[in-house]
Amino acid sequence: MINLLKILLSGKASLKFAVGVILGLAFSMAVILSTIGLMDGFEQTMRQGLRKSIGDFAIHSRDGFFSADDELINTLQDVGAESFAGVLQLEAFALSNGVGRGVLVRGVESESFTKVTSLQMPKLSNTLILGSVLSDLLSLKSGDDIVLSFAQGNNSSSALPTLQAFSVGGSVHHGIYQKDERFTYADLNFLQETLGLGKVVNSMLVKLDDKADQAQVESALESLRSSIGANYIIRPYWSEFRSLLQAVKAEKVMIGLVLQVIVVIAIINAAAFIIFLSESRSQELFLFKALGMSQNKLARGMKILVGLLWLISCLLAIVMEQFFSWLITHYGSSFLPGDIYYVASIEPLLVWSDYVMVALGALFWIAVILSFSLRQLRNSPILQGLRKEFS
Amino acid sequence: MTTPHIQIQAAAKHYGKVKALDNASVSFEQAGQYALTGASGSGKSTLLYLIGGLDRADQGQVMVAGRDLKAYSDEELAKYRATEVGFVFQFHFLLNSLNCLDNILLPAKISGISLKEIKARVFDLATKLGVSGLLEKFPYQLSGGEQQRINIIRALSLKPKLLLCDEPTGNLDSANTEIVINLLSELAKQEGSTLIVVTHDQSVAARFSFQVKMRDGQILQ
Repeated sequence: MINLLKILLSGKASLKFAVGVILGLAFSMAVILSTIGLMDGFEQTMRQGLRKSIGDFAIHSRDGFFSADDELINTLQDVGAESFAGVLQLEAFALSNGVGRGVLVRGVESESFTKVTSLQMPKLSNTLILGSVLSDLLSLKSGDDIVLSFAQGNNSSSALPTLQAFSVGGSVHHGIYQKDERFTYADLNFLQETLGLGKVVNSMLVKLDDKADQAQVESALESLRSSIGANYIIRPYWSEFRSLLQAVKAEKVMIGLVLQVIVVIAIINAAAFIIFLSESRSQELFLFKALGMSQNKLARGMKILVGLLWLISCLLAIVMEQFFSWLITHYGSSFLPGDIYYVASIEPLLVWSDYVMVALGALFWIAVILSFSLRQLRNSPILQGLRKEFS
Repeated sequence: MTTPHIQIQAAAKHYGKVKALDNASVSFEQAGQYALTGASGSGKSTLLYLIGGLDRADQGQVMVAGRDLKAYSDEELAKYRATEVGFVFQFHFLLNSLNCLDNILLPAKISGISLKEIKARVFDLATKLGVSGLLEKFPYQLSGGEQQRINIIRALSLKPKLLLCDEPTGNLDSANTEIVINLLSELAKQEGSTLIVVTHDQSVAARFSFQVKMRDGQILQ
């Protein structure tokens, strides 16, 4: 069998062609893998980012401000909530160094908020934590001063905005550009006191257990809506970007269809090689048959050869895909405009089934082409083949 | 009365509309030496290749050692070609990508036979045929006569019971023709092989004790 393979691949032209086919096939598979990884990575990053800002779901009272009473907490615990955090969320205007920007101030209690969202946040006292993009836009770093202007005035001067100076305590990274650009965090108690609101919040973030998937979240939401839905609006973490996530899914299908062009090119490559091999080595193939090599043995040799090419292509595709992923992870964010793509960076995400699917897809097409070629060889009479090839 | 080693009964073969073999019946004895003669297109090569299992008859029977080749599966027919038959082709059919020794060893490699044993026989045959110094050379470096000898060694390398030669002297001058025919005859005798030589050269045919004449796909005598 090794002799057969050696003969089939002998000659510079055959080797060059084989290398070309391997590169072409590997590149095509790597592009497909990277695209799948990019789409899955986008969705994953988006979901992680959303969870970092609201946990598994958020509850808003239909009456505006509310306080988390025992009844509400018991109800949450009944559906499997492991942690929850009250949040006072307000629109404000941030002023610094003569530059102003509209921001969303979230009053949170550090410990419970981190537990729900897993968002790593510097310690809050009378400081203000900024989203990473906002921090860059305002050129602020820890220790710098910033003033927030709240729309609602203090009790004593309600017609005027409330101005509150903060010291910047650091920045946080949600992974979603829009949130990094707009969110700021202050201590909940401090904000409540500053605005004279008492111990109330206007939303509550809830987290189920760490391994809760989308189906479990949906199930918990169903239960909650049936029990407290009359008084509260309950939104899962993905609701804010639901349409975007749906668009990504639809886009994935469309891109998958477009990528068929690459698959077709790869198949043409492979077909060209198999045809080249059959034609350029037909002298040898017919002679082997004449000297007693059975069609099955010959077919087995061809299959092993093509299988080897496929295997090498697959391995090379993984190497290429890793390189593309590295490029995307490290330099991809430079190409992502924040006003279009909400995630600040993307890391392609691939699971073993993606690799298997792409590799088997390529193998399927190669097998189809090879079977046509072998059928042609089987149907050609040895004698005619010998005379034609050696004449 | 002994049963013939090969029996052809009413064999017919068509290539498209061309009738290459038409109701041909003939038999060949074990270890006999035969010349198959006739003009070009008379069907002698077709008959030879049907006997060698390179093709199948459309009609009739090609019995070898009591079994019809038609009944062989592709796998069995391949094994028959590999182990029972040695072909000496007119155009040598040597691969230029392999040296002469590798060309000679091809049937053994295809059959999965130990090369060690075969090599000794190959060197012995090469010495007899005067080409032992050419085994490392490539076919394109040899003359037509030398290539034909390599072709003969390849055909004999696995001690075939049946040695089939298609115009083995077709491209040779008279001196080389003499040498090749003598070698084939002698080696076949030594091995106890049945030798069938296709030729349109009457002087070559005259060297054989049995002659089978063909015309228009039919056996004349």
